[in-house]
Amino acid sequence: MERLNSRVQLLWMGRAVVVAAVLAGVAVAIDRFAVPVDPPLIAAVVVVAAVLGTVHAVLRFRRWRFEIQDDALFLVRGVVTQVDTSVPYVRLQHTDTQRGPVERLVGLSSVVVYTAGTRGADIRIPGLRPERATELREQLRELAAESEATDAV
Amino acid sequence: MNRLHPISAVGSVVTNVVRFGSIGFFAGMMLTGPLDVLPLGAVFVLAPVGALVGVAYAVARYYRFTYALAGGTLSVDSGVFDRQEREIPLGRIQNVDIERGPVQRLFGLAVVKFETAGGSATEAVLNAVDVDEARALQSAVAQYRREDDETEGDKGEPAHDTVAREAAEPEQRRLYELSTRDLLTLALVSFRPAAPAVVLFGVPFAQEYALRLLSATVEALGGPSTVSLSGLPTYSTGEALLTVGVAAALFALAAWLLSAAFTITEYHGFHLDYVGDDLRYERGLIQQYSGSIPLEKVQTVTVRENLLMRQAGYAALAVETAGYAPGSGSQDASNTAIPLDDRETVLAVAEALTDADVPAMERLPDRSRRRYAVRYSLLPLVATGLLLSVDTLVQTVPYWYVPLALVPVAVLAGHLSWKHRGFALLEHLFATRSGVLVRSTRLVPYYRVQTVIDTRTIFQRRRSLASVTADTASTASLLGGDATAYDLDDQRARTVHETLRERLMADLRAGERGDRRQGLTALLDEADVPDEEGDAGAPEPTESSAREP
Repeated sequence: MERLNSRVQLLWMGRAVVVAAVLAGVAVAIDRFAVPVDPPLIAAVVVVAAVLGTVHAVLRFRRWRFEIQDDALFLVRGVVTQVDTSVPYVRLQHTDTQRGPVERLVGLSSVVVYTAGTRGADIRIPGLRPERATELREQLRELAAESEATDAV
Repeated sequence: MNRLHPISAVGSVVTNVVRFGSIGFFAGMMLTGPLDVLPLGAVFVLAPVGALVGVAYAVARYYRFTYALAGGTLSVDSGVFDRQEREIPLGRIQNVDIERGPVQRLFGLAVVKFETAGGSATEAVLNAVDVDEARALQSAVAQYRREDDETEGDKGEPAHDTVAREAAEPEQRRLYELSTRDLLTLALVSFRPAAPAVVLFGVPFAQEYALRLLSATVEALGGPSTVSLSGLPTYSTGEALLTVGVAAALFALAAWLLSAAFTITEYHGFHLDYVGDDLRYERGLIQQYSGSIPLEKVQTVTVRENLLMRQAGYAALAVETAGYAPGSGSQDASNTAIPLDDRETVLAVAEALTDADVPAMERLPDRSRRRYAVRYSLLPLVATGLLLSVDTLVQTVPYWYVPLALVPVAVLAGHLSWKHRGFALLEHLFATRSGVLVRSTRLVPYYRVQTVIDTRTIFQRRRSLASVTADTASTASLLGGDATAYDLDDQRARTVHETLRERLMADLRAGERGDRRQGLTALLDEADVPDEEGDAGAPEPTESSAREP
């Protein structure tokens, strides 16, 4: 089972901090324009949100793993709701590597795998080193080509 | 290169004259009136100019729109300003639907819609062609698929060159017909969410009649003789309760009647034929629909029974493909193979379509039942808690403990939920069942599985339970129609996950797609007086549960 790059935790923690900051902004706006709110209450909410987000990021990283198995890509993820997904190579429609601006900042990349299914139609593997992402995409493409798919739908 | 029927051009000219003419008229009104930039007479110029532009645009669009069905593709060229040339390989077409509204029927026209698996809208719409041409197109697509099948058998290139339109139409056999009695039953037992909404929006327009009817009913039951909103405060509690009760009952009755009317117009004259390798249905009283569902494109088969149907021993059957885009109109109706029949018949057709026996379901562990009972009980408990906190903190709430009376109901609901959920792993098929008000039994052939997804929420993990979803390309799963086996034992869930994966690969490698043709033929032969030769091409027997006559 392959793990994600540990730097992805920074990315997720950063996201949690942003969410906490937005919460703080909303609270301040409510305080200013609607009902007065205790400043300590605002601070408490923001701190709790940031801490929860950080813990979630760490747990998520610890849980997240994937494996290139014989005939399917297998993924294990999720903190509150744990999700195990098998994506058979025969079902791969196409595969992307994606790098958002924030991901580029921490030097990471994601691979997105598409199937014709309606629920698990696109599956993202985040937190990969760019070389690994490219390699994985190539690997998946070859595996998809090898497995004889007669009709992907 | 073919064009649409000239009468359809006349139709779009008329609509465009009205549309563009009125745009010109209102623009003129704005410019001469409030804005005052043009003299008053401009209205009489702008409106006709708008109409002329409309005519020109409609005519241009008509002449720019050509379609052709040749060389194994359907090509459609369209667009006046944005030109579009679209090619659809016939083998990729999932459904061909024909729609005929009252106006089209008057002129012998039909709208043809081609659906493929990709994309978010109907891929090609021919609005409108001659009705015979529409049928010919529908048959040609089916014909191409059959030839493709045969050539694939002897390892050659698929027949991409010719689509013989004049080829003999294969035998057409009636699989199902909705009788008048069944149509009325269906109207009474089915419920459409649109009906109450229409009643709700309709009442303000017929306010006087609605109020008069309400007053008359209330009076007959011994209430106040005239009901009005302003009189409401003067009623005694009994009178107010009576009025509200009668209003609710009348509302429900109106919604029910309207729902029945919708059902009748939608499913009037429904029949399902088996033509070649396609299922072909026709239905509709005012707007007529006809659609073809290729057997080889079928993703999942669903047996649906609502509470009333279950009591009366009825069921409905839906056949899903990957064709319809999410939320595209009457998708639910388009998937319907049998709107209503007795349970045995529906199951027999479902078995023939999937080439498997509809199995006895594997029940969920007992702790799932406890989970549901607790989960549903939370609602009344939380409600009581809220009322109690309001009672102690804000103001006194009389009878704050009333929601507690719902706890036994919640426990019963939990039990029913548990009872109706289940799953089964068959030789070539994964079956799941769930739902109390509308119970759906979904049959998913292993080779249609796209991904397998296990989920374990924090509450499921406490009881070591898990849910397994077999995701397919069927569009019905967007409407909460996933084939999910809920709350099985954790270890069992892992086995199911593994089995689904293994069987998918095994069945794909073996080319095991079930022999539906044989199943359907056998079913039809069983129903008929056995005639000499049923279907062209002797079907070879399979080991799986074939239904022998």
